[in-house]
Parts: sequence; C-alpha cells; structure tokens
Amino acid sequence: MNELTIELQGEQVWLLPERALFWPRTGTLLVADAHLGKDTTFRAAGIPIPAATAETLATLSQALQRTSAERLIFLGDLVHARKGLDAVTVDAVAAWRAQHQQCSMLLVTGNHDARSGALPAVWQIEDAGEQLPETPFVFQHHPAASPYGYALAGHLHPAVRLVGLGKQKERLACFWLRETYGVLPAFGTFTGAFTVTPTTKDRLFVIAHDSVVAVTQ
Amino acid sequence: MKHARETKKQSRRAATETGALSVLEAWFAQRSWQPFAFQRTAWQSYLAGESGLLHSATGTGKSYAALGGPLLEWVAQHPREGWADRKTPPLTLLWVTPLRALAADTETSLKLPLTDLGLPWAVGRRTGDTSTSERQKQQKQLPTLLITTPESLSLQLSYADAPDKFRALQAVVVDEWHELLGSKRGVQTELCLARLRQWRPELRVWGLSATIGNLTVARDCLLGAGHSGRLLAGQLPKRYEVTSLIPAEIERFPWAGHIGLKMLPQVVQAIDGARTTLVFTNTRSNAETWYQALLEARPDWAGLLAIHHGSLDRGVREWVEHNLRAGALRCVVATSSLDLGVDFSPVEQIIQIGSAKGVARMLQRAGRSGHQPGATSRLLCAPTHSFELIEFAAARRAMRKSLSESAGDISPYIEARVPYHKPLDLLAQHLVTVGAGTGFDPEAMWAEVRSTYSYHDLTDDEWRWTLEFLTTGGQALQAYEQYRRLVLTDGWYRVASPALAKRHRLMIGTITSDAALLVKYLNGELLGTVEENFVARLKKGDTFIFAGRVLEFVRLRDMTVQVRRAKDSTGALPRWFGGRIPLSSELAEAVTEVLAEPLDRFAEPELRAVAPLLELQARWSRLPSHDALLIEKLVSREGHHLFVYPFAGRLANEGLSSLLALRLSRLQPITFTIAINDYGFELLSPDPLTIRFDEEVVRTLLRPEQLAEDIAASLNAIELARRQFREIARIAGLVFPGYPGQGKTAKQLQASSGLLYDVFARFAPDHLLLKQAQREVLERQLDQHRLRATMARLQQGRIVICDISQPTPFAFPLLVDRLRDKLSSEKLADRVRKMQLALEKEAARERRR
Repeated sequence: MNELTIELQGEQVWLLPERALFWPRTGTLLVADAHLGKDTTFRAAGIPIPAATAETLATLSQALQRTSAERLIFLGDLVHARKGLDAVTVDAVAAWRAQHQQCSMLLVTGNHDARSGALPAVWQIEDAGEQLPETPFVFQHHPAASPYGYALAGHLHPAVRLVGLGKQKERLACFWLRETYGVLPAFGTFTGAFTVTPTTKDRLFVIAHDSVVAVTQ
Repeated sequence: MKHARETKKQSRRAATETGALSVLEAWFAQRSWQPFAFQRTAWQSYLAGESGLLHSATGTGKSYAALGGPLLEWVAQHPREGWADRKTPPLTLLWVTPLRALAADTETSLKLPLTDLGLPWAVGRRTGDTSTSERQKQQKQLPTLLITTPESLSLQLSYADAPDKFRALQAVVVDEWHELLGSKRGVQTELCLARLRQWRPELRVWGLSATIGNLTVARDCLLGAGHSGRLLAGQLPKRYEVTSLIPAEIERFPWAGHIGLKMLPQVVQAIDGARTTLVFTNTRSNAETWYQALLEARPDWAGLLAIHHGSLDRGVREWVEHNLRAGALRCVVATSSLDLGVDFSPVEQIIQIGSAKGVARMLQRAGRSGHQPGATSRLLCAPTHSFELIEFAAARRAMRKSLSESAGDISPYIEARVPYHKPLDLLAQHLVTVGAGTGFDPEAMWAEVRSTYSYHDLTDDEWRWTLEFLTTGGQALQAYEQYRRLVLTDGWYRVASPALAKRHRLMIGTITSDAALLVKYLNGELLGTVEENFVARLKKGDTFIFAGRVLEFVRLRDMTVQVRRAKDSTGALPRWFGGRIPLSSELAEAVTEVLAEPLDRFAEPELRAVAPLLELQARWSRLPSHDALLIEKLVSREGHHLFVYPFAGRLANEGLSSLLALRLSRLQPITFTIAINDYGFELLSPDPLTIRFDEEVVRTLLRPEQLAEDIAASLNAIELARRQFREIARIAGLVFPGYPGQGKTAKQLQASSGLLYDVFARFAPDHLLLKQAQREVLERQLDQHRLRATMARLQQGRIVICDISQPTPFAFPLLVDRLRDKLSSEKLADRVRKMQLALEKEAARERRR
C-alpha cells in the first residue's frame, strides 16, 4: 500500500489507497460513505450476499494502524439503511470498535444517516452534527463551499474516466479536490461510483489498486 | 378372452377414428384444401400414442398437423349427437408458443376448424397479456385448448391446485421449438413438461420446428431422457430467389458500417416495384433509422409504411400485423420480431438490410414472402458494407446445397441450436416454483429433474448445493433466517412463506428482458419499452427516436419514461442489448471457401462487384484463407496493431483474441485493447512487442492446451462472466425487479448484479452460480466448441505474417471499432501514470470557455 502525500490548504495530507484521507498534524483519519450494513439490507430482503461489512471494517483497521490515527471521522453515510442495522452488523461493528478503544470516532451526519436514526450506543461514535469546522478545513457530508473553511466531504462516490494510447480506457474511484471543497472516494466495498466532470482548476487523484496516482490533465 | 376383448376394442376404436378422420377431411375439402401426407402421418402417429417433432421450412400446415391428432381423438371418443348439450371439456390440449404476440394469431387459426366443426371446445389464451377478468374465469376452469408461453405455464405450476387443473390433459404442442431450444426458456419448458408427465404419464408431446442443423437433439430435448418419438419432415420447401442490391461504385462504398443508408435509393426503388415488402434489419435501432429514412425519401408513403419490433407496445404491433395481413401496407420495417408466426400472404418480397449472419435465418426470412400458391420466395439483400456482398453470395450457395442435399436430420450447411446444459439458476427458480405449488419430496423431485434432457447428468453434489442455496442461502453465507426460500417439513419442501411465493410469481418470466421502462406520452398513451441504461443518459428536453417518432424526454417517474412529441426532427437512437448476431460457423466456412477461389473467375454478381476490393487486399497484404492464418502488423500514431483473421465468427474470435493477448502479455509487460468482428480481431498496444514474433511463436501461442484455464484467467473473460451473471442473478432470484408500481422502494435493491458478482467472487469463489456464469461464457459467449476446432485447424495450417503500411480492407473495420476489450500485464498504477483524463464533450466545452 502506497499513500501519496500532498499539500492542501497549506497542510500536509496523505491520500490512502484504502480510500481514506489522513491529516497527520491532528492525527485525523477521514472516511466517507462507508455504507455499513448495505449487504445486510439486501439480505434482509431475501437476497443472499456474503458479508462485506467485515471486509470494510478490516480495511478500516488497516488504515488506522498504518497511520496510527488518534481520531476517525466519518464524513456521513456510515450506515446504509435502518434495515441494515441488524444484530449481526451491530455486533460486528461493536467488536471492531472495542479493538480501537484508544481512537475517538465521530460521525458527520449524511443523508442515509438522517434516515437511519441514532447509532447504537455500543459503537461509541459521537454525533458531530452536519458540519465540523477545524481550520483550515470543515468536515461535512455534502460537497459544497462553506464559510467555515475548505470543505472535505463525501456523498458523491466520485470516479473519473481516463484514456491512454492504444485506445485504453479506465474508470477509477478518485479524490476530487476542487477550489473550495474536496470530495473523498466512497470507502464501502459494496457501493457504486459516479463519474464526475472535473475542470482544469481541479486536482484529481485516482485509486489504482494499492497506489494513489495523480492524474495529469 | 381378455386378448379377444382388447382386439375388439381396438378395432372399434379404429372404426370410430376412421369416422372422425372423415369429419376432418370433409372440413379440409370444404375449405378447398387437401391434407398433406405428413399431416396424415402426424395424426396417425398421435393416435397411436406417439410423441415427436415436426419440422419444415416456415409456412404451411404444421399447426393443423399437430392439432389434428388431439381433435380426431376427441371426436372419436365423443359421438357427435351429444356435442350440443355437453359441458365444456376440461383442459385437453396445451399449446406453448415462444412469443405472446403470436398467441392471438395462433388462437384465430386453431379456432377455425373447431368452430366450423361445432366442437364444444373452449379455446383460451394465458400469457402476460391476459386480462384480469379472463384470468379469474380461468381460475375456475381452464379452457379445453389453452395457448400459453413457457413463463405462464411455469406460473400455473406455482399454484397448489395445478394437478387438478391438468388432470385431463392429453397433449402438449410446443410451437416454434427451435426458437426456445437454444435458450433458457427451452430448459424452463423441459422442466415444466417433466412436471406435467408426473401427473399425466401418458402425455403426448409434439414439437413444431423450423429447419435447423440438429433436429435429433431438438426432439430428444423436448421429449426428455428415455422417451422416444417421431421425427417427421413437413412439406418440401418452396422455391427461393436470393439476389443482392449491388452498390453502383464499390470503391466509394464503405468498408465498415452497419446502417447501410447508402443503399436507400435502390431500396426505395425495390419497394416501389412490389405490392408489399417486408424490410428486415438486424437491430431495433436500425429499424428505427430505416423507417425514418424511408419516410423522408417518400413522404407520400406516410400511412403505408410501418415499423415493427419487440420493444413496441403490443397494440402497435397488432395494428401493424393486422394491416399487413389485410394488404393495407406497402412496407413494414421489422426486426426478428416478425421472423416467427403466421403468414402474411400479401408480402411479395423481403429486403434484408445487412447480412443475416446465418444460413438458417436467411431461409427463414426468405420464407416470409411468396405465400400465394406457386409463388417464389423473394429475398433481396442490401449490404451495409462491402464484405457483406461476400456473405450474401456464400449464404445463397449454402442455402442451395442444404436444399438439394437435405437428407436426414443433420445438415452441415445449416446452423444448429445448442441447448443449455443444466443451468442451476433455472433449476433454483423451478424448485421454488414447485415449492410454491404442490411442494415436493426431494427424492422424487431429483428423479423428475433428471428425467429432462438438460439435467440428465445433474450430480448429487449439484442437487444438494441447489437445495442448500434455497434453504439457507448457500454454504458461503451464515445461516440467516431471511435467506430461506424453501423449508423442509416432514420430508417435504415448500416455499417458506406466502409472501415469498407471491414475490416469486412476479419473478417467473423475467428470463428474457433486461430492466425495461415503459415509454408513455404525458396523456398516458403507451408506446413501448426501452432499456434503463439508455434512459439513464437522457436529460430533460433531449430528443430520441422511438416507435418511428421523434420524442422529447420529459421525466422518468415510477419506472415510466414520460415523453411528448418533439418539435425537433433529429434525435438519438435508443440502443437495445442483443443486437449483435455472430456470423455462424457454417456461413463463415462458406465465406472462406469463396475467398479461396480465383478472383477473376467469380461468377456471382456480388463477388464480381467486390473483386476490386479483394484485389486491393491481395496487393497490400494477402487474402485471408482457410488453411493459412493471416496476421497483419501495422504501426500507427495510436500504437502497434496486430490484425489476425481466423474467420471463426465473432464469438470464437473473441475467445482467440483474449487467449493470444493473455499469452503474449505473459512474455512481456504489455497492455492490449482488443477489437473483434466476425472475420478476425485486432490487438492494439501503446508499446511494441519486444519478443520474437514469427510463425513458430504464434503457433505455440495458439496451442489448445490449457485453453479453458487461460481463457478463464483473462480479464476479458472475467468481464464477460460479470455480464453473464446479470441474467443468472435475475433467474436465480438474487435480484428482485420489484413489485409493480413500487419502483422507488425496490430501487434500493437494484444492486447492479455486477457488484453482486464482485462480492461473490471475493467471498465465495466456488459459488456454483459463479461457476455457471464462467461456464456459460466459455460455451456461449466464446463458443468453446468452435474455438477448439479453430485452434486445431490453426495448428495444422500455415501462419503468414505481413507488415502493412496502411490499414487493409479487412483491417479497416477493426481499426475503427470503438467497442474494445482490454487485457494488461502491467501494474494498474504504472498504466494510469501514462493516461489522461477523458474529456467528456461537456467538460471540453466548459474548458474552452
């Protein structure tokens, strides 16, 4: 796994191939759109899909260990739907939480979260409201400019199309850093992606398996 | 004593049957018809208790050959005096048809003798189109003769009272069996028939089929393992006349393409010269294009010109069919939707736009015209690019051969329809169907399933896996309650809950169509259906062409595309899946035979026309041939091209291309994009090959050893398997299309099955439905059988490698093909570093500002 260190609003940040962003100065790991329990939502409707939640959690653990993060902030859509919160998912997340006691965890509310209601208390994930400003950034779910600072957000599940010689084409999940806000790729394994239309002023970093690569425009 | 009584009974039966026969013959005479010899044979054979398959070219008399037996038997058993005050007899004859659009016409033609003879039979239809009131009537009692589709038959079996409803069933006729045979609906039919045979062991089953290359298999499939039956040839084929429209200047005619509008003036002229013409295109979007073009060319034909394809609303289609039959139309532009079914007598000629890609399909289409007595079937072929002229000439040769040499049941010149071999998705679906109906005993059900041709070698393991998949969700998953589709109580499997049964019934019959959305005017008038992924690209105000009209997209609401008539006259064409038919190996063979002949001795006008192009090919490179594999190497601004021409048809060419690409990529880190057509394929890479690349190396690379393993390892095959899994997931009930009118809540469940495939591949790589997807890719998508045959051929023959300085006539169509597969042995990150952002049109515009 190879992260990429870049400068953003005068701060050093790491872009991780696990689809997370790390801010070393404050020891903060940012993760957007984990969609935990999306697999269970399908199973609850009688559609057999093996548990993907376990893998999502394992990847999170890996990112936490590699960065030694002291704080984990979910940028919304932590839980996919109320139905997804069955006992299996609740227990799995609680067990995982217990392994990371030293790390504080916060959730910035997203559209799915609002519908899913309060999180189980055993998860010990603090509700951070809809916006969490920390100069020079503000953490929120929806990608939009904010008066509080440079917004770091999720929601979109951004991806871009790349082309190369020999008629090569690829569509890859990406970090999409715009003038006033930046969008993280979706963290969850069982999620789709949305192809964004960047402008020349935007910076783009795609996830290429175990690496993060800057896109030349 | 007993023996004597039996004989007496038999002779009495024979006597009444002769009496009955005279009734039917009198009816034929009354219509000034004469029963054909094969019809009499079919009737006798039915009365003797036999089953069988009846085959002939499209047209005359197969329906009455199949109806006659059951009708005669009933007449013989029921003296005429009592007919008037009899109650309607219970379901006696089941008539299965592949297209519900055909059901109405079938009903009309079957009713004819029944009404004329005054039989007290009730005739009814049960398809997806049947009204609720009719359904309720049928709920009490099914008609004596029921016309239905495989899906609707399967649905009947999902009710507990099915055995009672079918208690008096004597016979099943499966119409257009060749159409069902090569599809999963054919397997569904097999499973339903096995069920019916359990209840009615004496059941007679008759199939009606067009001419195909493997009739014995077709019969065995229909009758099930261990049942024998007749193979009966119908009327001898009529006379055919196949000609082509030759482009005026072949040098100016495109080398690649698929719409062929360059031939418009000649097509218009041909339509002008005949009373009624059917124009066949290979895809629905082409049908729309041609319809628009013809209307523009001849505005005076408005009202005399119609369009017909499978996505149009039933009402529209029926209107077209009715007017076609009545002779009120000059021309109908159609797709394979008009391949089947009843005759349209006024049709004088057929125009085929583009190659029909197969000999059997050419025969079938030609047979749609010339139904007047003594008339000739006329097929006029219009090429969409130059090389199709070769295909036309080659197909005509093969048609002639097959007609003059057609003896026996296997023809080397006509395509076979290969049945599916034990698809587990369909088995899972069927078991839930039966579980929702009577339920089943596992032992008995196992025997029943294995009595079909498709599942005759179903293993114990596969059977147990399927049951486990249905009861727990499968080994890979923890045993969640909510997985249960079936529960076992006291040795009997039943569906887990009435709600699940209800949901399952909605899913039966989702075998064929992809997520389809209704297209309606704002006032609610229904136009037809389009696929979801087309609509996804539309924005409010965009225009598109559909049902022969230019429409403006208003909004998408509740699985309905709302449109209004557009003021603009241009629009995008919807794309439907399944448009690309591969060139059959029989036709490919015929084409390479043509290419082997000396150019200056071509006799047919098509070949004389295309000869200059072939000369050019020979001058710049060589002519591809059957015994030498031609490979062309070209360097361009885009990169390094290899053009390879195995002439194995699109499917096997795709298999060969992935194989060659994979094996080359093991020798050096390299990335290929791959284009494929019926003649060959192109491997394009940004970097040159650094390894030795000569005849010997290529032969080693194309050796048949490790074929299955290597193909499965290529990324392309994985991508194909993902696509194939979409259908499997739907049939096996992994993806639920949602309750009618509840499009929104169901959307959360519309996980793309591609995502499902990825999750399974990671967590349950041995999942049998995944394996099935991989197997279907190898057998169906890549035509493994043909692939192996081609590789064996390539091992024997020469391999010729030519350096070319410009794309040759054969290379050009591949070069311009934008639909590409990919294969790489480079690290993704390394590759991505050399790539750039794709500029969407909109983004490019924004950048310019």
